[in-house]
Amino acid sequence: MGFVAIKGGEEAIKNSLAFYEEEINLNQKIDAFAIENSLRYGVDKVISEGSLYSKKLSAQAILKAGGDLLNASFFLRAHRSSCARAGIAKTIHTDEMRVVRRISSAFKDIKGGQILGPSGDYEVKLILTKTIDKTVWDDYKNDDIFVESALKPLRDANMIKTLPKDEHISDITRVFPSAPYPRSAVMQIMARGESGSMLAFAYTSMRGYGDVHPTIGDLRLGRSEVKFTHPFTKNEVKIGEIDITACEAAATFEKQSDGSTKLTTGFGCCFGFNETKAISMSILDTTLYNKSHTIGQGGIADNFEMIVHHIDGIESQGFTNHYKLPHYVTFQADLQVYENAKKYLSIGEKK
Amino acid sequence: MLREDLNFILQKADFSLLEELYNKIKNELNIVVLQSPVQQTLLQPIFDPISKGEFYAGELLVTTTIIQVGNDLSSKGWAMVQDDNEKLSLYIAVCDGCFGANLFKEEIEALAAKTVQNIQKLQKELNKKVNATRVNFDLMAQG
Repeated sequence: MGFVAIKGGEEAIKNSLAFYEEEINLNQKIDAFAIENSLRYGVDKVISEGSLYSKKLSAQAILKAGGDLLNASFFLRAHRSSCARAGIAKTIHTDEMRVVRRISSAFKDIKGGQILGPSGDYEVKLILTKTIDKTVWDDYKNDDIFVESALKPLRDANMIKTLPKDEHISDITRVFPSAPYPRSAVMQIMARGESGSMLAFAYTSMRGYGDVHPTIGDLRLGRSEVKFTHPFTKNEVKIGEIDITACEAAATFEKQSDGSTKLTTGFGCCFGFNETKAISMSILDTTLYNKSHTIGQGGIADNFEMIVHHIDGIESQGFTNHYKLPHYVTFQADLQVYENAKKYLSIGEKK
Repeated sequence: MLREDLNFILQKADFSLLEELYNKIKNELNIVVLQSPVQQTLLQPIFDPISKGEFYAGELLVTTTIIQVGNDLSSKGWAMVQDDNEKLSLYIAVCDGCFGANLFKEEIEALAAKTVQNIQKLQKELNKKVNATRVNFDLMAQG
């Protein structure tokens, strides 16, 4: 079969884009600032999966994508690649986070207490127009809340399993590693992974493909300071504050190679208020590094190749959607192979 | 107040007051923009409690500006503000340069001090809401 180069569809593409813009043109009446301050969980999902902390651009991307959050993340990821990198900020320690929500299902009485924060967890899932009775906030204390992880006392008592530290921190945006994957690369991949994919893989470990029943040792949502170095004074300078979610899952006690028995845990941490994602990440971290949770013939969530290569939303969306682009030649070749096979089969039968 | 405090505090300042101060400075001093406000990213490491190592959670969008006050090479000003904020970055870089050169220091400190009060007030209001959601366990039954 010969190769035929074709071109065309330019007018159709231009009109399609115009049609698309008209379909969502009411977005011009919506202020991006309103999106940023009302649909905050959508905005936070986009900054986390787009791997670029910019609430302003996230809100604009949501509008531009007509509310398609995966597509909005794509806009953010693309924007990220167009900006020069100024450097590396100081490391954030989640124990220094200014907390707005803190839950531990492992311990009732914990230092710092259980703090529900802003949450819709406790509402009845009925679409009704209702107003919660206003709280008189002045009746409550105005103390700052900084709390260490509820698992810290166990960690200090050397009861928690540790993993080797990477000497060099991987940056998958520069070099995507090959197996065996450094822990820092795996964690970065998960921190920018797609929430739904991570949830699904984490869920497999709870149902037919694993036996993880984690307890949330500590879940914290709050604000952390971003610090850098002033180029002229060379002193530390605060750049801003970012919302983050951190989760530590506690799994089970496991015998170690040195004969001791330690509690296995997993850590999840990502940009924005994305607690389902952070919990899923902590479960995947547990399953990946603690094979004792796998039952049967091998799991899904304990497989590095499976997780590392399948949870990025932008990549998986791109690969899946590319199949709708012209594959005329590929498919014609498939048909021709089939026709040829039939022909050779009939020749063989005649002989 | 330290010069390094300005970068964050002035991001929270009343924008019209900051702009007013910038215009006042610009009218009296020769401000040379060495690097116009430009979007950059900062890679953000997170401490991993399990390995005691670190990993990158992603990047932050920042807007960076470098200026110089007059012809004095030692009086450069810099700002790196969160998100896409060109004017804010420029105005803060000018305040940073002036503060370092002891120019308009009182006015800059006054605006920063006023802003700090507002930051603290808003933080206290937020803290009250957060503290209002603290769980108090009541014993329902005892065997």
